[in-house]
Amino acid sequence: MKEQGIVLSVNDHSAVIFTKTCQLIEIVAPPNISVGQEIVYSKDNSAHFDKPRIKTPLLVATMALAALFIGIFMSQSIFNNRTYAIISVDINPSVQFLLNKDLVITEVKAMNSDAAKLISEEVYRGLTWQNGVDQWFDVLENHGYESSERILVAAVLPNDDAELKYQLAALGESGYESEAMKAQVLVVYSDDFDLPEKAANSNLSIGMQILKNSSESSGIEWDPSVLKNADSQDWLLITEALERDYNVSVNPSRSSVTSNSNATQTSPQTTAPSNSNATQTSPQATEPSNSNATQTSPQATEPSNSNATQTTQKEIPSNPNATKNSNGNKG
Amino acid sequence: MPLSSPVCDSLVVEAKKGDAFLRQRLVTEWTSWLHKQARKCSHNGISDFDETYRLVLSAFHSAVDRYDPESGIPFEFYAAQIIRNHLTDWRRLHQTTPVENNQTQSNITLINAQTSDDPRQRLAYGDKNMQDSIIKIEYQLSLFNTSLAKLANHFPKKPDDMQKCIKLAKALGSSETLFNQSLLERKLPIQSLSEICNVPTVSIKRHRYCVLCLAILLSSNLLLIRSYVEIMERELS
Repeated sequence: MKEQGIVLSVNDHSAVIFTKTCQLIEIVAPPNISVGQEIVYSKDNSAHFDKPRIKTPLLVATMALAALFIGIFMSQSIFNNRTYAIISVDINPSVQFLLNKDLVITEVKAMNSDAAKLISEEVYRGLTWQNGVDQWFDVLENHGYESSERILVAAVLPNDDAELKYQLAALGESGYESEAMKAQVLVVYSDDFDLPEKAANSNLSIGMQILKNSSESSGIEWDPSVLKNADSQDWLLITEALERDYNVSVNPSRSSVTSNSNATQTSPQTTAPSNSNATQTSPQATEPSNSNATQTSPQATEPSNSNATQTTQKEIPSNPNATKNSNGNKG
Repeated sequence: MPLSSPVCDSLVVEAKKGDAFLRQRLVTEWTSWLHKQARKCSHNGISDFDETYRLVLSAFHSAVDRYDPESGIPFEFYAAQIIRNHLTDWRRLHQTTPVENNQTQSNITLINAQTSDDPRQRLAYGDKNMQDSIIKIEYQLSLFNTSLAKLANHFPKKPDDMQKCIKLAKALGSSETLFNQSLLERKLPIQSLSEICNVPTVSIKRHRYCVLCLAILLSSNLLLIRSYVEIMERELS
């Protein structure tokens, strides 16, 4: 059955149509429609998005049975789904995200009671790691942690995933800044998959475990509140200690970002990895002086170690799975 | 300076006039926000973060150039929508979305559309004025924590209910005071509407989002929608 409507909104996968029968419906977006355009479409197109309307007990029973089978199948899939990477975010509330190969969050762990109180309010599963971290920052900001100046983001990931390393480096370089919160983000990552087990045994996040390991090797006194109570001098020592053993990305120019309300310049530039296996890239945007000139140029600082591999953005081996999922957007 | 504050919005207006220094300052102040937008979008069909950031920056400049403070839309919301739309168009133009298939295409006919292979026809937001109208609609809906996508497939199906919704939406849309009051208070004036239209408050509450959305659409400059509603109202009565 054909119906007529006007296109109101288009995204990657669907379009919202206001129909001649005054219904607002979502259809599969064809490639050549534009907003404001009047179209005639087959009602079959919207079937995919229609909410099922339960009409008979038989239908209910069938759906319940189907749901049961799907549930069993999905739970099997989830159990079989190996954790590909782990990312922890430490302020004082600490959380840990387990990611699958698509870099989508499959599990969230609150690492202390403060985090447990906040994490229950949000649904992170299914978000890409960037959206999950952004959402967690938003939550912290809205629950009295907006004065936090320093955030530790730690990751354990396969050594050959240059894409994720690049994304992590970008987070370290840009830091976190919103209307209410400005924080330096210290990103540290490792390919040591024994680390999560050690951290779990110590009841710590991987970030805190990394911090503990570095403290032990560098002689810095360590206790779980070290991150929260660190002043800029301590922070510098922590960063230096981490750099000895791990890949670290942080924007040094942002270290005093909150002390100067007019500080506006952020200059993404990746800190060179000190680890021999490091592969790192860094984005650096050239801001145009007029509306037509918009340009960015990848720039990476040279790794300090001769064995380190340096790649520009275009040379990064692409991880096709890293871009598959787009369900991180709200609404 | 807080993003999207009145001071910031006035900075946008000044930058729009051609002051290169102010524009540079604006970009600098919004760098983190732009990075956040790029991070959010970089996983979605464009794997290259730099490429995404370039697109985001380009869309941001476009937003500065097109922003009208008189529209009542905060610049942050406006810019975010322009960026989202720009990236959607970029992906459609470069065919990175997996939705293109012949079956979908064959089920949809474009009215008054010229058939050509011009890739620009893939632009969903090529008509900038139309884009601004839709952004305004989305902004007004966002005041009620909803959006067109969220409301899709949630309008009442029964003709009686729809008739009531149209009646209520027209009453709301035709009264500038009531309509502005709704936007200001971010709440539908259910009691007033009930008295004006003689519809029980329970019915209004049940279909409040439909009434609200219809009223916003009717108060927009999308004339086709008004004609659709008029035709539907006649048919139902």
